[in-house]
Amino acid sequence: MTMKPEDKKILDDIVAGVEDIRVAKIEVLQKTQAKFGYLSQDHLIYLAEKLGTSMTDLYGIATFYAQFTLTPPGKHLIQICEGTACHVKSQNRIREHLRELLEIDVGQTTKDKRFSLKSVRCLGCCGLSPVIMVDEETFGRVDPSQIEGILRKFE
Amino acid sequence: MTSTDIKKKYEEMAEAGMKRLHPDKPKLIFGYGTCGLAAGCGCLVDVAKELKGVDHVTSHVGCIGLCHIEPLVDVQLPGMPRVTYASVDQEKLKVIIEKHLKGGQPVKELAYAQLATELSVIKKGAINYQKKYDGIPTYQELPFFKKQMRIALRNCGIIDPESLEEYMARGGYRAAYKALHGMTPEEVIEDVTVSNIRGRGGAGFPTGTKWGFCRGSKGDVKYLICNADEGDPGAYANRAVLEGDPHSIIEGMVIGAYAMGATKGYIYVRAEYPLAVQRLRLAIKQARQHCILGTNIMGTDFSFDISIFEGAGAFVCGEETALIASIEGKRGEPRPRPPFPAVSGVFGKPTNINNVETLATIPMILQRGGYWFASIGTERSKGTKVFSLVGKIKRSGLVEVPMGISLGVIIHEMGGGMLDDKGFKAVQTGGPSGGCIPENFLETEIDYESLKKLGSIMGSGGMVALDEDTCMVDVAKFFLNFTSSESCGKCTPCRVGGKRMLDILDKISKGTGKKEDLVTLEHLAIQVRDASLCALGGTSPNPVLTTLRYFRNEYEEHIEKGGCKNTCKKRGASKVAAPSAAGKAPKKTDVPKKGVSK
Amino acid sequence: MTGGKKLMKIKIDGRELECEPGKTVFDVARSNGIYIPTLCYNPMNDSKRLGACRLCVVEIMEGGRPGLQSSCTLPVSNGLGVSTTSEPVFQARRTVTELLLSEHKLDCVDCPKSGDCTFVRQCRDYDLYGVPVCAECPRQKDGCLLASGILCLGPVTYAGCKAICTRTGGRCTGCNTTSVNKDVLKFGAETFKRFGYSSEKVLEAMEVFSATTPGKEGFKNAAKEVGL
Repeated sequence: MTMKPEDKKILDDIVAGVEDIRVAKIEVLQKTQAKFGYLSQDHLIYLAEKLGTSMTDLYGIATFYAQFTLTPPGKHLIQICEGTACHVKSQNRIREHLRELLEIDVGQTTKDKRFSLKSVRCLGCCGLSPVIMVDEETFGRVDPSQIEGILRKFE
Repeated sequence: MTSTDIKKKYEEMAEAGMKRLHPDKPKLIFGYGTCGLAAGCGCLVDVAKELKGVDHVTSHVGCIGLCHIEPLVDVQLPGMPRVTYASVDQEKLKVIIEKHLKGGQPVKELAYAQLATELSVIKKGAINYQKKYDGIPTYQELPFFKKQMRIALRNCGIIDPESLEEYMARGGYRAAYKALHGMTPEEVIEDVTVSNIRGRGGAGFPTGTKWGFCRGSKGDVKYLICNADEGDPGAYANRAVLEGDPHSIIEGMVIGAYAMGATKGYIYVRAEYPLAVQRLRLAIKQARQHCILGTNIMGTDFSFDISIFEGAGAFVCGEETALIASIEGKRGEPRPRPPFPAVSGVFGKPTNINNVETLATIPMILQRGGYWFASIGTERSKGTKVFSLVGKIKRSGLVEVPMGISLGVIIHEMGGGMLDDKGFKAVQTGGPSGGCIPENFLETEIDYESLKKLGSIMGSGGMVALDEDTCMVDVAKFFLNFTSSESCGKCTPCRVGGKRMLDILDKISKGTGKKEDLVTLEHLAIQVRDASLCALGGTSPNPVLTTLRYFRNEYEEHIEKGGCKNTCKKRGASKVAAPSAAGKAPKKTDVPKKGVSK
Repeated sequence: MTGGKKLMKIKIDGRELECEPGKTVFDVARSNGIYIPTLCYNPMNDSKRLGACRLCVVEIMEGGRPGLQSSCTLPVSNGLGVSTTSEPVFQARRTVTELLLSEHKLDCVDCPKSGDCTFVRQCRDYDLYGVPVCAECPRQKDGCLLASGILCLGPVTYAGCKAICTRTGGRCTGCNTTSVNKDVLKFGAETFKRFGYSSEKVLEAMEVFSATTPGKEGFKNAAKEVGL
């Protein structure tokens, strides 16, 4: 196991900090990903032991839910909303534009590790479709011509 | 604290809330929901922070439903109704601040509406200004609001969701107090049963009956879960309530837990709603601090507490048994029923799951009585429903209307008709479990049964307007693609059947489909509907079945002519042209030749 | 018999059956000789009732919510009545089999389940992609009996018989029923043609080993089609 002691401490604190351990598996994985950006195999092995379960159990959970990523993400996460209203308002143009601009496909990270591109279930901003999210910020009524300007805000 | 002390304290808080809602200083109000933020209200708030020269207060409210004209900024002067300004940018904001906030006169050219009288059904704390401004329409005069009846949305866009005092000022927690102090659990269930409210998450099962089942289950540990995993693409009615009026959920849950004998509550909210999570956490903290959650609630011997459970991105977890599996720390795979959750749910204990809108409505039912609620709506569908009106419509946003209103009124009167005045083709209701309803059924009075008869469902209230340029095969493909990728993978019909249906739809939409494919598609759709384990698989063929029912000609056109003149073909053209054609709408072309590639 | 537990009465295919509470419809059916297929339920591992494959579905006719339910998860209750033979049940089972087939490469030769495969039997029951014995035969690649001049009826016989004949050098005598599946019979005709056997010789052998009439007729047609 190649985990640093300070990383192990972080995981220990996460597990210790949950309200109800019985329902906490997903919460622990979410908090781990929030701290490290992704879930590595080492994380899963260590957490499995702490939670009294198997690594395959946690792996099964991590691969089931869309929120979890098992590979290191880029610095900024771009999420394209896959909702009906966005689809109807030609979200595919935004998707294509991003794919061409960043030279990556949905689910990948740019070579310079600056951006990761992901699809996300309907964000619920349908009145402002098409919508994308970059990190925690939501952008509505997006036009392909605005994309470069939006991305420039994120170093 | 005794219950008399508590009651007094709540009354004081309500008074404080009224002073916050109607201060004796000028008030600047920002529509601060995810919609408002996405439209850019964040930088407006920053501009206003620099404001000097006038003693004023600022308030952040939730989403009032006018999403198509966000960002919204309101100015409220003491003694006068608040005036809403729409589509505000930095320039407009400066004018509004100068002339209205500082200068005392509303900017009539920019004003959208004024809120002079109460927009919702509440009585206590209702807005009622004697004076009005001339030349500015009232909210009630706007076609978007005229026929609305706001029960679940009663506080959205009106109160600061982070203020418990403002919630109480408008009657908040009076219903819970009444239930805990003046009614038995059975009486509460009776009132809810009389109201005939049906689950607003989509299944439409009578809530009172459901609560009765859980009450009847034996056990000293019972769970009450609020399903806030709103996953239907195009539906966001729940998000507005979670962000704009989180205490209404807590109050609904306290009442429900009391009625059922639940000891522990969860709000299962999807991770993609970070603002909702934040607001809920704060509301729970406030509730705990004021004897609304925890032990001895409101001075009684009833104890109940709520935890937030953040979903991790799985549409299927909106299904009851999958949600339960998720809370138990497992993959969100549904289970066959029986046994039903009311008998055996989380960790085998009796569990009741209710939708956000249902819970938000409960306090009003107890406040004004079950018979009052049952007097609204149609014979079998009582009360109101929130719809998220989206798509190619002029005025997109959230509306709450009594059951029985017609689709046409919503689309044409309230929604203002189709964007760019294009022709109406269909309205899609119920999300990926629903169906597309064509023009000749627009006079249909909306209720659970009428929508079902047309092959669709009420669902969680998503209502997508589709214009004449929409390809219905593409719509079916879009929804099937969604449900297929969100399938949990457990049962064969959904996991494999979804993929095979998608293969056929793909072939057809690309112009390589054959006549036999339609027969296979329809047969497969029916089998997947009947043999799937849960409602995700069971309703996933609905978009296919309804588009085949009403728009079969479009499928045939794809088969005979190799494509369509609508979105399919247009998408092909714009793909080649992007990004230089960005921002320009692709031109309409002739019907393509057979075998045109993507 | 039950030590004090009150028995329940349910109906399966119109037959009234008594059963202990806590049992599932699947259990009751099987213990009363009513066959219900399954793939995901292993009676040896009682705790794993998933209702996942959907092959064991039955139709609720009375005493429950109408529709199809997986019998392996359906608890018995007084007044419950189900059908294992109705049209919706047949269609559902057939579709499930078909769907699984669309994702499954029938690589029977190298598969340990070869000869004892529920799935292959399912496919046969619904006349879907009949699998000939050749698909499971370890002599397929080299050592095919047909190539050494022995008339083996494998190409026109359903697989899944658990027999060890071809494994030990004996020919297939069609005891697992001659196929009536068009694809199998076409395969058979083509195979026999390839190895130079005449249709008369094949039919003679089929006669000797009591092939079914539909099988023989089907083969005659297939032979005509491929010019055997």
